[in-house]
This record gives sequence, C-alpha cells and structure tokens, in this order.
Amino acid sequence: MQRKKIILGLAAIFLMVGLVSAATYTMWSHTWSVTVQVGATAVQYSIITGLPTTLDLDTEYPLVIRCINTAAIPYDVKAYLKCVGQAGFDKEDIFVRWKTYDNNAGEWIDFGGGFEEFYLLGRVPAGYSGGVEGGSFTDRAGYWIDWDGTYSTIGAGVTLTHYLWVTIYGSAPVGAYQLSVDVTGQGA
Amino acid sequence: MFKLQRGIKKKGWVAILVLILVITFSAQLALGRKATSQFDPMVDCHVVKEFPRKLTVGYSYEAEYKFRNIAKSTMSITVHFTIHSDRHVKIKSGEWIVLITINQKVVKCTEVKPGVFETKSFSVNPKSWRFMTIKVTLSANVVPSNYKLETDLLSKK
Repeated sequence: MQRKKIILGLAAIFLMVGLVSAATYTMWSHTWSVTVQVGATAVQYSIITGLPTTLDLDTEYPLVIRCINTAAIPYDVKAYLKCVGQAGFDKEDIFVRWKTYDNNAGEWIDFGGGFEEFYLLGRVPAGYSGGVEGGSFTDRAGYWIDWDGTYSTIGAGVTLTHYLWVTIYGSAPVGAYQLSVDVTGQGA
Repeated sequence: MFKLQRGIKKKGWVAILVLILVITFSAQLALGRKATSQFDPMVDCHVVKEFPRKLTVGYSYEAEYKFRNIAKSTMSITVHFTIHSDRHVKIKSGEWIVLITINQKVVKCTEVKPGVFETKSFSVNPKSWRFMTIKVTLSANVVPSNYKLETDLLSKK
C-alpha cells in the first residue's frame, strides 16, 4: 500500500513538472531580411610619403604607408614587395630598412630583436647594426626581384604606420624601375 | 493463487504509470506546438532601430528594441536570436558573434546551435520597460548571401 502511494505520488509530481515545463510561449517574434556582402577591403592603406619618381643611386629614400583595420575583427595581413628594374638588376642591389609604429599603442613594433629594431631586407651594408634581418629578395628573370612576407595580425580598429627606407646601390644598372607593394589579408 | 493476483495488480500499476507517462509526453508535445504557433499579448514590444538591409563581412551592426510586460505578474523572459538562410543553409558556429544587452547590461548569450543564440532568462516586472540591443558581428567566414534575422521573446511563465 505504501509503495502504491509512493508510485502515485511520483507519477503526479512527474505529470505536474512535465506540464509546467512545457508551458513556454512565444511572446513576440520579429524577422528581418538582410543581404550579406563582402566589403571592398577592411584594411585601408594610404601613402603618407611616396618615393620620388627619380632615385639617385646609393641614396636612402623614405616611403611611409599608413594602414587602418576598419573592421570589427582582427585581420591577418601580409605584404608582397616587387621591384622591376633593368637587365642585371638583382637582390644584391637593394636595401630596405623597415620600421612600424603602432598608433593606437603609441609605440614602435618590436620585430623580435629588441625594441625599436629595424626589419632589414636585401643586402645589409657592412658594419650595419640595429636591425633584424628579415631575409632577402628573390631574383627573377635577371631583371626583377620580389619578397613575400609572412602573415601578421592587425587588431580591430588598429592603425599602423609603416616606415620603409629604400636604397638602390651603385651596383644596380641605371634606368627605369618600378616598385610595388601588394597587401593581402583575411579576417582572423 | 495469491501470487498470481499480486502479479496482476502489479501489472495494473505499471500500466497506469505508463499511461500517465504517455499523457504527460503528449501534453508536452501539444503545448510545445502551441507555444511556437501562438502569440501571447502579454509583452508589448517595439523595434526602435532595425539592422541595415545590407551587412558587410567583418563589420558589426546593432538593432534596438524596447518592450514591457503588460501582464499582471512578473514574467521570466528568454531572448532567442536566430540566423536563417535559405541559400546558405549550413551556418557554422562562430561565424556570427552576437551580443545582447538589456538596459545597457550584457546578458549571457549562448550559441545553442550554429546560428541560434539564446540568453539566460531574466525577470520583467509588470508594466516595466526593458531596452534591448542586439549587436551582430560578422566574422570573415560569413558566406555572402541572403539571411533572415529572427528575434523571439519567449516566456516560461
């Protein structure tokens, strides 16, 4: 008899709990249709100081580029540098010092060798100190060179200013040159 | 003989228990269907600001709502925010990031299924207003397509 009461009691509780828990009502519902599109680019670049149209050999010229990640998420970006010159132009004929300033943090980015170090590309001058060698360009077809960087993350809303000092050595043939910088990226 | 009678009685109780279970589950199913198909007028909700019609991958957008409990008793409310797409059916978890605030305070919101977000329940007193914002951030993995953004206020009262 006691057992029956227990079973009946449990069943009643189960029934009550089951009915109460099921009573979920939609109070209000609203549906809105949208179209998702891909933006032109989330990371926008502007050239602050461009290279002059005529460069003297063995002279250093600044190139300043500012980039802003306008997206709400971080972006992984990398740069691709290409320099097309004259026949005989190779990776030993160019030197690039590269330094990056984080405008949001108000400090220079450490490339790994110590604070405010330069990132060095190409043929580093003899006796030069104060930079991290980032590798060299690759010779292409005997008249142009390129360098493909690695991805680094630029945070949401972050502004970075890249300072590049470009030197073409006297070993390079004179004539017309074309330097281009391509930046590719993807949301991180 | 005694043993047989006891056995029959035992089976009878089991049958009653099974019957109660069947009734309970049937009632749950029936009420569940009712819940999704009927609208209860106990919440007065208004859209203050809609999401833009065109959203861009990598950007954030916000919609604003205000609602009040017009019932006589305190109500427990849960917000469901669902992203559907007829074309891009397989939305992956983490593609959309959703942040919901009630009266400028962030409410815990969980992606219970890919594209389906649910807040924890919160109480709303009779006649008191709540101001709600839903902020969506589209990660770079969101596939460009047509989507429907559905906002539901559910009550477990």
